[in-house]
Amino acid sequence: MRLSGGLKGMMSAALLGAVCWAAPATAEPLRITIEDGVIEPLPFAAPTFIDEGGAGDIARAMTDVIAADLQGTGLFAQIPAGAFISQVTSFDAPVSYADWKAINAQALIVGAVSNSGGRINVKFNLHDVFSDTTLGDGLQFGGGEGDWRRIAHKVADQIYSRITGEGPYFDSRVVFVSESGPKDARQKQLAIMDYDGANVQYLTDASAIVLAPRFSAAGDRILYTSFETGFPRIKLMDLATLQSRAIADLQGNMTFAPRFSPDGDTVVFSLENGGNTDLYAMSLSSGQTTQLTNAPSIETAPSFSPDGSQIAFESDRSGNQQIYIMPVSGGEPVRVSSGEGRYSTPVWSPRGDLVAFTKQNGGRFHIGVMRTDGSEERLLTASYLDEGPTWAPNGRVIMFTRESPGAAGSAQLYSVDISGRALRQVPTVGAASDPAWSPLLP
Amino acid sequence: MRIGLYVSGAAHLALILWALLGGIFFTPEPAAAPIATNVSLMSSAEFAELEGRKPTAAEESPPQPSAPEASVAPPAKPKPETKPEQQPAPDVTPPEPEQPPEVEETQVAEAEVTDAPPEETTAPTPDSLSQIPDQPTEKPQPKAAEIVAPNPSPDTPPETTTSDTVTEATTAEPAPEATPEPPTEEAAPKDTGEVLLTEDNKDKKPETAAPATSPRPQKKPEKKPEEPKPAPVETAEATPEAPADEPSVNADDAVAAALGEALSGEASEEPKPGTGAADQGPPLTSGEKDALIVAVKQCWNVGSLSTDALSTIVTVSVSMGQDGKPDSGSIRMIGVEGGTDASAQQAFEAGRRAIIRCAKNGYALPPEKYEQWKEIEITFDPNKMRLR
Repeated sequence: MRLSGGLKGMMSAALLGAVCWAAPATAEPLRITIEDGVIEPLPFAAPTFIDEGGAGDIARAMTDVIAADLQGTGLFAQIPAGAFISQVTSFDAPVSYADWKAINAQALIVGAVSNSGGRINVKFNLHDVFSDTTLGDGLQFGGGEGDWRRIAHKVADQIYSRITGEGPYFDSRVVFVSESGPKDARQKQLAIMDYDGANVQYLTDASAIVLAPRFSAAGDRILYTSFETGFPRIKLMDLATLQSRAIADLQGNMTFAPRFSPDGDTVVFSLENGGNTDLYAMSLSSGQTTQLTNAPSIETAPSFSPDGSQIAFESDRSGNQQIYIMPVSGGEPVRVSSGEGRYSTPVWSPRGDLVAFTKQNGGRFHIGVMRTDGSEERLLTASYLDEGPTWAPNGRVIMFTRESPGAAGSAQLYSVDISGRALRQVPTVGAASDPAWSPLLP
Repeated sequence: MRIGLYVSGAAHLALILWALLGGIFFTPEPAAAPIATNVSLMSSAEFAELEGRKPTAAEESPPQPSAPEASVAPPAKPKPETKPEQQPAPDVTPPEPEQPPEVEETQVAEAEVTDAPPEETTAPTPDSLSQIPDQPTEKPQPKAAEIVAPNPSPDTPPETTTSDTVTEATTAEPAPEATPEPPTEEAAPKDTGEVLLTEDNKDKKPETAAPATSPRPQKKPEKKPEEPKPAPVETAEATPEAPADEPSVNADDAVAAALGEALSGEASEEPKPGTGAADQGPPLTSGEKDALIVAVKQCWNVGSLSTDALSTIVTVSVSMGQDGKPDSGSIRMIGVEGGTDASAQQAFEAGRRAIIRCAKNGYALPPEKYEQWKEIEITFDPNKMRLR
């Protein structure tokens, strides 16, 4: 059946009239743009996890660890239990969101712990209070009774990631140099601990000075510099056995500042030969050594990019210390730091987007970050002496050494968010320096 | 002759005595009635004699009836009304003691809750930061008035005091926009707290200055009004081309096409004619828009967003109720610029929380313009926040 254009027009006119009669005119939506907001910690409530059998103390301790993890990021603020209007008495009980809204709890963590024969089982739900719903599905973790802290860190990691969108990092460890004794006769030994300072274990004794430990990408080995023989030499330690051996023993030259490649097979380091220091790479599988730089200046502190294709390092070839980047396969280094002062100890972010560094300018030290092309430099700290940044596994937090002035001064570990917020001291027994953050534990 | 005088004198005396003493025996009933009748008779008689004089008499008489109306009858009533009010008042007080026991019972049921309320008052201090937008609009005003009043009265001569009052007055005048005051208070301490860590950030405080409102007008003219224009053009062109290209169009297709044209034509005509806009009321003023922006932004917390989410611009649509409260279930993400899916979700959730949190009492939007803000699209652009 065919319809002429005129008839079609008449029909459209008739329908137009009908539609206009039936449906009142609707306005376009009001459009606004919000460009300013607030930057404040997100308030959360973490009622003590419910004991579902034999886990009374552990349930309380795990709740505390989870809350401390979140609050320590500076991105969250815990609401004290005294402010709670309603109590969580059962894991499966419906949540009275109105009661939590009333105290402005934007996130609510409800969990339960059971301990059966030394095996802990933890389950939790994260509630988005103002949306009246859960944020993601509930999860549960299980493990030995002695691993309750790790399990708590894993729960906190999940909560942190769900709310912020960042990768987890609480379930990780830090190897560092534990210091003791007076400042002019300091004894140093390697130690390893949870990222929050708990569970400290010493890896070496205090018989020889050790420096600059570095984790492998898998977290199973560490490189460090030892002065056992009186001059610096690189050593490799297996964390499972705590056995260590010297590597890169090249004709008795000093070797230091080692770092693993992402695949764990190559070690880049500095070698001093005849008063000149250059970068070298050595394959752990074949033992083959390659010289990466050849300049009369001092090149040191190499750090691989996450994809293993480039190396950032510091060099004074321009007259003072600056940061350069060069391809692993060789090529002319490109200077990326351009500000005033000296730049040193570049460390590539696990994400690959930023390089952390130590900057000395105007008599003060800073920990800062910049893009890999040198842009958007931001100084996160400022003090008498800050140095040696290391990245958290998620590339959001940096740990470093801060040393206080004076004869009674000592070194301590600090962490800071890359936004410059949440600067806090990492609790350690005595003085500590040279932290290296492990990858996320499996 | 004198007999007549005596008779007349006695008659007059009797008449006088009758007038004076007669009322004692017979007064009450006849006295009241005749007086009323006399008044009516006087006005009618005078009305018959002189037409010009009666209005004056008539004016004098109405006031008398009107006087009793206003005659204090109302004032007399309120007095008894106040008395009964006072009587129920004591009745009210007894119920009050009755209520507390009820509350106590509930509190007894939850013994720990009784401790919680006083602490809530402390906890809300952070909450109050977010809730301030609605209530503080009134609070700043009385505060400003109290401050201004004492200052000028004692210190009228010095000009310096006037300068102080002027500064305070300027802050108080934007009372309708006084909602921004709390956010500035929020932003200041929060920024300082954040900036404490980096000494260089101290110089970045000026970033919190207010010029954020300038870019907003740019987004008012959306391109959509342009889209309807081509629609009618297509219809005009379609009619000649339709028979040439595809003459075989069945009835269903034709109806569908006609309906489409009708709908498109309607859409194209909506923005143009003033009738629709007249029904929907005038558009929101920039001040009304800014008030909404201020209300939302003070609950838009990007402090817990990932760095990727801080580079993600999301546009969120929400349906509003006439009470100014959003329909939480209607909030959805309709646009994303930059970032990954995960970061977009984080950014969207932060925006959704902002919309809901600051609408506890409903946004202060003009009810008569409800059609203009029934649907709202909010673009959350965190780029400026990322650089802080």
